[in-house]
Amino acid sequence: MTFREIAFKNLFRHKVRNFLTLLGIITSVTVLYSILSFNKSFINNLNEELNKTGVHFMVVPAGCPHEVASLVLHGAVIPKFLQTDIEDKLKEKLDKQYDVLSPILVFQLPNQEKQRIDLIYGLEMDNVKNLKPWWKVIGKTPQKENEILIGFEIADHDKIKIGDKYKLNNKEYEVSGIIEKTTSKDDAFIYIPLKEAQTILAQKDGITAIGVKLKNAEALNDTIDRLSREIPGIQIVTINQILTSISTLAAGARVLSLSVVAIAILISTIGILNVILMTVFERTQEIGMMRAIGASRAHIFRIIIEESVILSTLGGLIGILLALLLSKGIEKFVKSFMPYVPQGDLVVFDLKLGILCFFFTVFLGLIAGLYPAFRATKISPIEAIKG
Amino acid sequence: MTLLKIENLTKIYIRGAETVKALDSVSFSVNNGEFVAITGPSGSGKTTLLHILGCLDRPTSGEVYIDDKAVGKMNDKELDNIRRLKIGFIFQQFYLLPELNVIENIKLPLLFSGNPKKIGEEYLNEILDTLGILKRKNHKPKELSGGEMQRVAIARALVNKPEFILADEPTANLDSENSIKIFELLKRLVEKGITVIVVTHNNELASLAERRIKLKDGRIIST
Repeated sequence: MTFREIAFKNLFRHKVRNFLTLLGIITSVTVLYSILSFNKSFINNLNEELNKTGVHFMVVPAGCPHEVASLVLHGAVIPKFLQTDIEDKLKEKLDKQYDVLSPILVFQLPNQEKQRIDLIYGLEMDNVKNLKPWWKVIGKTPQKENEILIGFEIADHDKIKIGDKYKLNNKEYEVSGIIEKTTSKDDAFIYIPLKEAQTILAQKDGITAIGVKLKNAEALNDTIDRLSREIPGIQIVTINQILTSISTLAAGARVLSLSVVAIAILISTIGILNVILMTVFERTQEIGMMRAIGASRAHIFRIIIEESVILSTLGGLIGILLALLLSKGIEKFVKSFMPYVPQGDLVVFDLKLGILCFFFTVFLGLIAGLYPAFRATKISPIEAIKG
Repeated sequence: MTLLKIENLTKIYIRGAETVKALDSVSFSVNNGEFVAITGPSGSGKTTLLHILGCLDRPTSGEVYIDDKAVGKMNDKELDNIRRLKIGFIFQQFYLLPELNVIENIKLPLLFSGNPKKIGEEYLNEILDTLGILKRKNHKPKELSGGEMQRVAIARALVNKPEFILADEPTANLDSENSIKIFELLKRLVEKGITVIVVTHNNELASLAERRIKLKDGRIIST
C-alpha cells in the first residue's frame, strides 16, 4: 500500500462530488487544448494556404488591406477595379523581371438555376501553370473561350464530369477540366478565361487584381517600394501583409476564447481547492488518528496533495483525449465565431501541446492542493481525537 | 524493568479567564509487561494523562521517561518516531479508514514507519488469527460489527510490534460481551510481553487488569 493508493481510494468516498469536480477540470482542459491547438493550426494553415497563391504580391486598387485578404482567400467582391493601363505600366516597370504577371477578375455571380452564388475566378489560362503549379487537373485547362475549369467542391457537389455543360449568366460553357481536391479555397471556384469573365461582368478590361511573382524574390521589398512610388492609385500587398491582416482580424476572437478558457480554468482550480478543503475538514478525526499512530506532518501533506494531483491528472488526461475525440465538433463550433478560418484540420493531435496542457493542469492541481494540505498538517491530533 | 516513569506531571489548560488543572503532580512508574488500568470519573484527567504518555501532548510541568529517555526534551520528529515504533494506540471510536479493507487498515502504521522491523504477511496473519478476524481481512469496515472493528484497531496498534499499547476507553462503544472479549484479548497481549495501559470508567473491566491507578480531579488517589 502506498500514499497514492490511499489518496486514490479516498476520492471514492464522495463519488458524486469528486466526479463533478473532475468534470469541471475535464471541460476546462478540453477547451484549453482545443483553443490552443486551433490557434496554432490557424497560423500554420493560413501560411500554407497563402503560399499556395503562387505569387509574391498582389497589386490591387488602393483601399482596405482586409479586402485584399478577402479577395485572395475568399474571392470576395471588391467594389473597385484597377485602371486598365496598370498591367502595361507594371510590365514596363518590371522590365521582364517577373515569372508571373497575372491579371485576375474575381467576382460572385448569382446562379438562378442552382439557387446559389457562384464564385468566378477570371484569369488568363496560360498563367494557370505558373499561378497554381500544384494543381492536378483532370482533363485540360480551357483552351477556348467557351471552356471552363471547375473546382473539386463544385464538381463533387453537382456530380459534374468532363465535357458537361455549365451555365453562367445564361451562357453555356463546356467543362474542359476538373481540379483534383486541394483542400484550399481553390476547390470552391469556377475558373474561366479572363475575357469571358470581363464579358459576363460587362467590364471590358476590368480586373480586380494582378498577381505578381518575381524572378528574384530577394528583390521583393525594393521592387514594391519602387512600384508604389512610380505607379499611383495602386496598393501592393505582400502575402505576409495579408497574413498579418487576417491574423489581426482573428486575434479578437482568439483573445475572447482564451479569456473564457482562463476563467474556466480558474473556476476548476477553485473547485479542486474547495473539494479537497472540504475533505480535510470532514476527515479531521482520521487525520488526527493518523498523526497519533505515527504519521508525520509531511505524510499528511503528501496524502492530501496526492488527492489533488490525482484529480487534476485524471482531468488533464481525459480532457485532452476528449478534445481529440470531439475535435470535429469543437472545430465547427469555434469556426462559427471566427471571421475567417483557413482550410484544413485545426484541432489536431499535437504531442508537444498535449504535454504542455497536461503538465499545466497537474501544476494547477498541485497549487490547488497546497492550502488544504497545509491546513491538514496543522490539525492537532488531540483536538481531532477528542472530536 | 521500568518502561515508563512519570514524575510530577502537571497539566494546566487555560480557557479564557478560567484555569483548569487537568493533572496535578502525578507520579508513577510502569514496568515492562504490566497491564495497567487508569480509572476515574469523567473529567478526572485520565485521557489527558494517556495523551501525554502517548506523546500527543506535552505537560505544563513534570516529565515522562520512556526507556529512561525524557520525552520533554524531544523534538516533533523524535516524538513522531516514538509514536510510530514504540506505541500502539487504540481509540474509543476505532477510526478505521472506510475505503480501506481490514488488512489495509492494519498495515497503515507500516506505511508511516517505513516498516523498519520488516514485518511480513506471516506476522500479519498471526495477529489477525489471534484476534479472530483472519477471515474478515478483505472486508471493508462497514461490513464489520463493532467488536470486529475494535479488533481491527487493536491489530493496527500491534502491527509495528510496539513496546506498549495505550487504549482510550476501547470498550465504550461495545456491548458487555464484546467488552469482556476485548479485555481478554488485551490480557493475552500482556501474556506475550506487551505492556498495556488502558483508560476506562468501567470498574468491572478495570478489575481484570493487574494494576489500577485511580484518578480524581487530576490527582492519583490510589495505585
